[in-house]
Amino acid sequence: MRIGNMTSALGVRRETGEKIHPNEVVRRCAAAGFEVMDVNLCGLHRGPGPFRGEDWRKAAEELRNEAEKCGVRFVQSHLPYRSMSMQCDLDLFKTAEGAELYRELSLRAIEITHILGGEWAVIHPMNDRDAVVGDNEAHIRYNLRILDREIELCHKLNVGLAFENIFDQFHLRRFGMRAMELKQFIDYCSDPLIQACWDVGHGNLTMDEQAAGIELLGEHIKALHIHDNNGKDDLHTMPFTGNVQWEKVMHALYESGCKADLVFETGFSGMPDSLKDHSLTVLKSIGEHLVSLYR
Amino acid sequence: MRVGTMTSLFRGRRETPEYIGYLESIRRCHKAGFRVLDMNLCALSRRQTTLHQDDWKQQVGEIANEAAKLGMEFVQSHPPYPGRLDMDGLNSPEGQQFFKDMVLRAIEITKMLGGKWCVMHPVTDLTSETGDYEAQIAHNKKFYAQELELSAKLGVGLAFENMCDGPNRRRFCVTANELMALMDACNSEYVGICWDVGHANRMMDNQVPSILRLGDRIKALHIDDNRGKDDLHVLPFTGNIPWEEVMHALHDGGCKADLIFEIGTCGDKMPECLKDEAARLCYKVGEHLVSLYK
Repeated sequence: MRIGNMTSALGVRRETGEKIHPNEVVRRCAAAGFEVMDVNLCGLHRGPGPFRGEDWRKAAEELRNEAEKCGVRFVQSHLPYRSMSMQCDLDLFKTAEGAELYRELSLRAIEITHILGGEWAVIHPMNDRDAVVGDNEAHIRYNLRILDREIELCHKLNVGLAFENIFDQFHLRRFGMRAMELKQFIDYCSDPLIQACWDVGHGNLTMDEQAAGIELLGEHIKALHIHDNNGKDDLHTMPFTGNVQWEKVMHALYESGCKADLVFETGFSGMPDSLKDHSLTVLKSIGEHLVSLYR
Repeated sequence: MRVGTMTSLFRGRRETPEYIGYLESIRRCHKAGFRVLDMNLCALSRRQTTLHQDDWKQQVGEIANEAAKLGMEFVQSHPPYPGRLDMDGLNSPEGQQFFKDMVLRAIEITKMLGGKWCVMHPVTDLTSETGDYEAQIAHNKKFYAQELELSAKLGVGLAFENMCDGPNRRRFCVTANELMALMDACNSEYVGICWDVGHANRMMDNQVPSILRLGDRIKALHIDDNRGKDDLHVLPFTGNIPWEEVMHALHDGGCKADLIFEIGTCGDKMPECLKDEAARLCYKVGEHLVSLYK
């Protein structure tokens, strides 16, 4: 199990609001000792960035070269997802053009994952709003339908889709919150390229004992999102600053046969630039301790 | 303004239920870079320190010696505060007396350590209208009568802290005006205000005007971050407090207090082997905050 971070780890410069380029994030994470990276493309549809221009392939190649130069490698990505609360997402899907742009960028994200050498693209499962709540098979069919082009592209490029455990929001039940729903999805597809991502923070929000969920999914967990919270809000704080039972979680990951890398999904966006590198070093030490619990 | 922390930066252990003692805590705070301390005595009334024991004066002497040896200074303290009736033993006359004894002892400890301010939580009289300042002030003066008397006698100040409302339950001294009214009613050089930046972030969209209004009445600071909802007590710059504005307001308002962390970063959730490294980061964050005090 290697220790990794997302390209979103440093967010913006507090002093100027400028988004920190993924190439710089890779350099700074490598300097702090991180071994692997996740290219976070969640916001690809939400505004400008290095992968929004016509030369996005070149930007991806440059990022891959930068990673190689620093001795780190990309193992996974986070594909764009439709937020249920962000106004920009709600607005985007009001028009057919907006929905088509989202689709195009979702496919682009898979290609970027491939260019970077990543094996898994993490995606949020969606609810079929026209289906009966709790009819898992209907939700599964819906996801397969709305992601048909993505799945086809994944097969072509040999990149897997890892469906992430999510959490209920605004008192609305969401498909994919339970480990057994993800397992049912995986079994239904019976496709080595359709597997699971386990988000430990989300697991802490939705289960008293997430070890049981981890054990159910076991080797199907191909990607990890590592962060902490207080069991109430999706805070994405550093491990050991919330109430996740890390000893049990790491032991369950080991026992269940999960071979994914330990990839943090916590960030230091609000931290002044002069303190970001120090924060990364502390996070890397936390990662080392977590890996020592993987036994 | 100097960078300081509460001794509770090191207190709980993830691995065992034992608490880290004051001597170890101040040594580790020193190692992280801190030279200014707040003696956190919140757990005194729960018998979760050893200072409720008969030899407390001797123990405090040892703490004072250790701090002096390390070149550290105690500037303030956090005496016990009335919380949940069952937890604090306040549901019996004996429990109430013990609690009172420990609060008074905390003031004495503060004096013995050279601290200048004891941070107190104002109380709310739930039998009165919560907006009736006069009734609330009278209630606080009565509730803290012995503390006010002892602090004046010893020359140690009481700094009343800004509080947080409960869900649909207003509490007294959430606002700057309420704190000022209480302070003015006490009419003593030994009564001041503690500004808890995290509490303020939960209670107001913009805490700057309140800091400016309180100005140099702020004699103690509690520095911690959150997202404006729960009292997370996380490291500054990991929540949503506009620290640049807060530090600037403290400067412009004339606050001369030291910057004292009240955070749980190295608490009972952090493994022992990671605490010192995390504490060093806390100190660096403190240095950065002080650089914004201009």
